[in-house]
Amino acid sequence: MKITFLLLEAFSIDGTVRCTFTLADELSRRHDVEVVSVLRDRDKPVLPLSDRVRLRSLVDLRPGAAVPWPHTARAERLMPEPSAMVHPEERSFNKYSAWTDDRLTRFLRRPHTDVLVTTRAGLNLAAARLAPRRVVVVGQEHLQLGINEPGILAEIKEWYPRLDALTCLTAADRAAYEELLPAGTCPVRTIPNGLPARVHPRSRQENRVVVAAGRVVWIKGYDLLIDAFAKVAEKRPEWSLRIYGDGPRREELRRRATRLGLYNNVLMMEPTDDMEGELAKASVLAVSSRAESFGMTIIEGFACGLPVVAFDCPCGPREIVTDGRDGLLVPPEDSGAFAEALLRMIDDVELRRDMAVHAAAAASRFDIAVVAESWERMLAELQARPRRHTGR
Amino acid sequence: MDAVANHCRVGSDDRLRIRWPAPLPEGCRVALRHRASGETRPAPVAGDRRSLEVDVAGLATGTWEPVFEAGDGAVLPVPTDDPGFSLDELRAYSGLPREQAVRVVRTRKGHARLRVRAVAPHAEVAAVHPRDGEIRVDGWLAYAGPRPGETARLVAAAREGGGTVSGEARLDGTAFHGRLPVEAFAAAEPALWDLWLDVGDVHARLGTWLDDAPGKRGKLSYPRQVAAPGGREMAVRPYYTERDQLAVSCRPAGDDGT
Repeated sequence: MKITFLLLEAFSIDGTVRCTFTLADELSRRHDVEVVSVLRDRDKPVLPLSDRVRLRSLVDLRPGAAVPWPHTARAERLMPEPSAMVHPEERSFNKYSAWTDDRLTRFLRRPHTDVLVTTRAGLNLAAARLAPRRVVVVGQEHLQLGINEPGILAEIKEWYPRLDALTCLTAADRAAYEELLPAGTCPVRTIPNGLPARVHPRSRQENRVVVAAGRVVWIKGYDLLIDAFAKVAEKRPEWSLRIYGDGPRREELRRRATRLGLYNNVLMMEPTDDMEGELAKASVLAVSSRAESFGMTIIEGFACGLPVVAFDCPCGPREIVTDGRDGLLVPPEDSGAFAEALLRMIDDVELRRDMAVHAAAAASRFDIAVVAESWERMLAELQARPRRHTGR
Repeated sequence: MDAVANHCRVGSDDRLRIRWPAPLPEGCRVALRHRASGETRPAPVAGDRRSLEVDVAGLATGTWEPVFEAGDGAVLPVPTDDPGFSLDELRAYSGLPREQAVRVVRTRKGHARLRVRAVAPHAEVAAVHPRDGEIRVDGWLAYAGPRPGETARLVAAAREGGGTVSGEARLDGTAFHGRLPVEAFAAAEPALWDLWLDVGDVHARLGTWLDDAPGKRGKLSYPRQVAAPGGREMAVRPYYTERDQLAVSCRPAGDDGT
């Protein structure tokens, strides 16, 4: 079967790109797999992709890239024009243009594939409108439904029924979509992101280090984590917290740590190209997000043998962490409770070691081979005749 | 060869120990290969085929790769799931006098590597407490061994102009605790000060290098303390240099960007 993934920016570093590459790599062992990127801004993708997967782009933004005749003048005219196809409330609206509309329309009308998997709301909607009936179209949601603005929600409600299926990452999100979409229309499935098949370094539970990782933005709740760690450091000054990531709040958080007297306990680390290596040097993973769409870091932490302390936010952690077995869930945004959970984990070495063993075992549920199997099963069902009449 | 080592460390005795959870295939050989020169040294596998132990003292500096040697001359890297970092082990390792340090690191691709480098004594900083008119520093003397009976001083040397500020320090085994008075910095001309721990004839630069978190400068910051011994308000603040040495900055208050 030929499977084509459509990404907005396959050449950049991004969680959706990483997970799509992992899935594409695995599926390419048994299928003909292609990744199509709407935009291309560099010669090679930053994230690794196996040679078995073909990669091409629709619009080349590299400096000096020329659109060949006979489209040159048209591209020049359309490039500065805003997109008419993508809703202005799409989170990346500014990355689309009238020229991406033109290229996307051309691609979606004749995608030359058996299965098209689109990876974000703007692309799911475009494919629901334009892709031909003979192609199985699966829309993939990497973000939770609730994050969308009303204009997009209305479009989702109108157009998603024309998808052959929709996948989301959590059961909570699936329920939200099922409530929004009319019964009997587009089936919604939960398929989590997968962990690439490789040897993961395993924490020896020997360093007095708590680790956190992710973009340094408000939603990740690092301010709450640092507040919690102030209470931890009061009792266990020999423990430290390392927060890996980049983002607009990094400086502010470093100042917060200094203000709280945590200069010996909190390090604002730069992003690294070997996050798993750094996870495995720690003993506990802290996930302080105010909201999560999934929680890939938890799965990576599990694979590295790290038990997790996480806020029990509406999606994500609660579907991955089994409270008391491979981690501790605490009430959302309660930094006092977070500190207590961290201290419990720090002080009870036996509990921590037990949880570390369970965490490593729990990671196997998210092995990319297991995840790819769910995809293949779903795609085979969707391809089997008679297919549901989607209206496309 | 896909056998994954579950232990790969160099002990304080400068012996590399690698262990595997299951026996290696019969006839499987392991060697250490020097990246720069191509020199290889055998690392014989023990009789149970699940471990090896080899002396790594005196290896040429640089990177050495443990490799599996196949019969046909092909070599394969040794994968490991050992993260290769234990601050306690590194502290114990650096607690002995050494001119060369060997440690195992795990590469991003999951392969074991040995890093061999020349070392000189330094004062590894574990914690800094800038408060109550003092800058207290705790850490340990690395690569010099314990110095019983010798007196220790914490010394700050102005980067320009030749001034010094000194403070008391106590050495307990290799652990040191030192303090520098903020007023002494504030009484001098504005300057940047480099810090040293002097123990007998050991002149050890203060810095943090063993915690696998290089580039402290962007990762943490210390608060300033203001003192005005000569009627001029001065802001005194410890900071890390670009090379992770601990230093002290002393500037007129209001002039230090805060």
